[in-house]
Amino acid sequence: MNNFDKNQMPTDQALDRELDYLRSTVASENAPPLVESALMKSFARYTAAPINAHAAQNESAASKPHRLTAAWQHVFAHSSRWFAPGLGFAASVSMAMWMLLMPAHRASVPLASPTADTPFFALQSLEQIALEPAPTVIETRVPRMWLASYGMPVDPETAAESVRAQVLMSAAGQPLAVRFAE
Amino acid sequence: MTLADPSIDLALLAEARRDIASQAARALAFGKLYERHQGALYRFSLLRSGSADAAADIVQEVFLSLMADKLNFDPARGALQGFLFGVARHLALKREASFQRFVVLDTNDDEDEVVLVDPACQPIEKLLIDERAERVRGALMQLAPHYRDVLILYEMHDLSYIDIAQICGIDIGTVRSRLSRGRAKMMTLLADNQHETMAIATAK
Repeated sequence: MNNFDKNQMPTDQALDRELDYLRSTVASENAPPLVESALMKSFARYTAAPINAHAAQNESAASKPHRLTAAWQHVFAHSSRWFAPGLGFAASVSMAMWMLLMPAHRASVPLASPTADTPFFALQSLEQIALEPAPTVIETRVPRMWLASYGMPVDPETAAESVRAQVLMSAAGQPLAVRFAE
Repeated sequence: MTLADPSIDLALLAEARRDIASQAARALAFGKLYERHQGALYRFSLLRSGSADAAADIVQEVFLSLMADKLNFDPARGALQGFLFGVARHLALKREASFQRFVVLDTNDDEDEVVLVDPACQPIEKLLIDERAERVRGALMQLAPHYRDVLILYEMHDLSYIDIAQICGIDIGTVRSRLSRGRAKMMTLLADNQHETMAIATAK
């Protein structure tokens, strides 16, 4: 297609067509998933930092441990590193077993949570959620106004109130899915 | 087009920064903010810098700065999305300045300077495999940065003159003139490129 002939003055419409074409080509581009996971890890560290800093402050304020105690702490610290891979593996196996057995369990015993009938909104791809090795569900409260961003109706009079939510979190602190209790 | 609903952005930002909120609620709010804005910021940075890696770096840096509250965002001065566009543009300018291959960035609009494209800016690998789109993108990259900013924000993101003026820190009249000149230069560049391609094909 030759919209831009040197001997003929190109038109605004021709340029618009070319720009529209570029726009449609890049319209589906998003930041790579690695950016989000790196950011969420940083955010998890950042939000945990004040607690850690507080703990460190308390630690430094306490009296210095006896040399023998310190030696035992040193040994324990090293022994805990020894156990860490084993514990991690055991946790993974337990989680896998739980995930395998969960459907049967769910069928026979309904969850007591009032949000049990509410579907989860996936915040990440289903593939990423399925691959997450150790997801956890955390209950929290969020502003009701958020429901609007998920396409749910929000009464302006109660928009400022909070609503109970269950968040499926990855081990790195990244929200994977969420559901709200009305 | 208008910018994304500022009230939802403000609620999410407040929640992400609320010390007494649980870590899950804060992470959820931050993730939601990211989800709302990453696409537009990435596309802007991609076309602005011409590099997928640079665009990813810029998006990451924008959100890291937002998370650490380094940006001094003031809701009274405009919507969060416009503000984030401004930060992304600033980061893109900083990257360009570090190359020291471009002429002065904020130049007089009357100057029709030739802008050298940094050779490190590779074509967007595997993204714009379409030759036609690549040709338009190539012409866009040849524009002076101050024309490119306005053209991308107006033509690719459908932002209003007012929003663009705020993002670029210029007045509306300058937005209009840069857009007009940018479009004129784009047409010339596309025509020149077309002519060169045809000349090469004829010579072969």
